[in-house]
Amino acid sequence: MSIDRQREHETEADDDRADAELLGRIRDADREALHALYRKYYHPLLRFTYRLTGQLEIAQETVNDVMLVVWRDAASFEGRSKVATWIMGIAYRKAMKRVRRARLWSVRYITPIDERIERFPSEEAPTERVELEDLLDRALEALSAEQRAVVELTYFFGCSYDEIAKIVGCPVNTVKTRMFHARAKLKSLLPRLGKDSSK
Amino acid sequence: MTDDAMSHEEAALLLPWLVNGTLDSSERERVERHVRGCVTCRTELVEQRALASLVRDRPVVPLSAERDFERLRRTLDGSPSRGMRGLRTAAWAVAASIAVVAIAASVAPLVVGTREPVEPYRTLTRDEAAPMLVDVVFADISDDELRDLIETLGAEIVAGPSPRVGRYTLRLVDDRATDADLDDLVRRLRDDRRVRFAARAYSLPTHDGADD
Ligand SMILES: [Zn+2]
Repeated sequence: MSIDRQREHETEADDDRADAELLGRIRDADREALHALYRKYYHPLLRFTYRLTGQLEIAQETVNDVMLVVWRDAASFEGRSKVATWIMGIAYRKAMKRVRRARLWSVRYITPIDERIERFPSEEAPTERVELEDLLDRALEALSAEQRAVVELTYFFGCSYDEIAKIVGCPVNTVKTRMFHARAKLKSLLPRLGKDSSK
Repeated sequence: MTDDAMSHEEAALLLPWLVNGTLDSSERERVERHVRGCVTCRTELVEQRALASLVRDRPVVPLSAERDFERLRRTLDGSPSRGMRGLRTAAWAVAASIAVVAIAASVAPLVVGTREPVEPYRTLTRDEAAPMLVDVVFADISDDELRDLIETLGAEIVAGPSPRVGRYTLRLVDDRATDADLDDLVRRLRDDRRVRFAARAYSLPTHDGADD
């Protein structure tokens, strides 16, 4: 167990060194290095920004916003965190900007979730649809984008609370309490959590 | 300092990071010691492990990085790839990814922010009432399989997976595709056992509220 953990730390460190090297080349305007970093981070970034914004094309554009910042500001990376943490921090800020912009009109223009469910045209939808309801997705939708970010960073990206604090730019205690509130809300929406022994 | 007992409150806050294995060893030991003696935390730990595996198992969106990198490359080259057209595409995606929501007509002008009349994204539809799109929900399929299948069928993803049911919205790559081609796509999707649901996408609801 501890050996695995040790090995994990080592590969993480190697990984970060490889990222830092790419970033160094990006600083020198090396497009190939940008391409390599882009390929590596595209899917994680897309997943994260999609989770936050809820809209795929907005997420795609956000990923490019992020990589554009990486391209332009590579020189400002001071190595005080892992490259991945730095990039995810940019992604968080860019995505939250989109979320805030969306909030301005969503109150007036987005149909509430419950209404959306009713509006699903039933003649087209098989009864299976109900089975396909993804409870987790729906529950996550009910969280604030800030809470979703912490849940994703913890459980999908496996970040420590220190890393999350750096990414979202808030104190460690805020990360812990934000996660705590998110857990409580998810628990109320997913009452079967932990009782399902399918795994 | 690391030897003193951890309070329930402190331990409860740290459970997610016990689950994801990122606590440092002394903190981990203290949390574990508390959990052994606390039924509430033990129950919570089981629930958090279940939540973590649910979150981890959600699929990553299977899009091609190369296509979006191409867009970025054009931006770097200074060509106007992210002008109005890009934004309109985004507005379309808002509509398509939540195809059941009657916001298509109302969101677009706000996102685009122009006084121009808003048309559906040109290459996607020929007729506002009948988008040339197919909604599909997959059963068990890997990202690679999904990509292959969609490519084999001459289609591409324009939106999805939707957050609730994991629905993808597809279109045919060929701009000249006809209604018959699209019906054929639906048939071929339905013939694939990895597809749980496939149908022509619903026509986009027209905005019935006050619009400027
Ligand atoms: Zn406890």
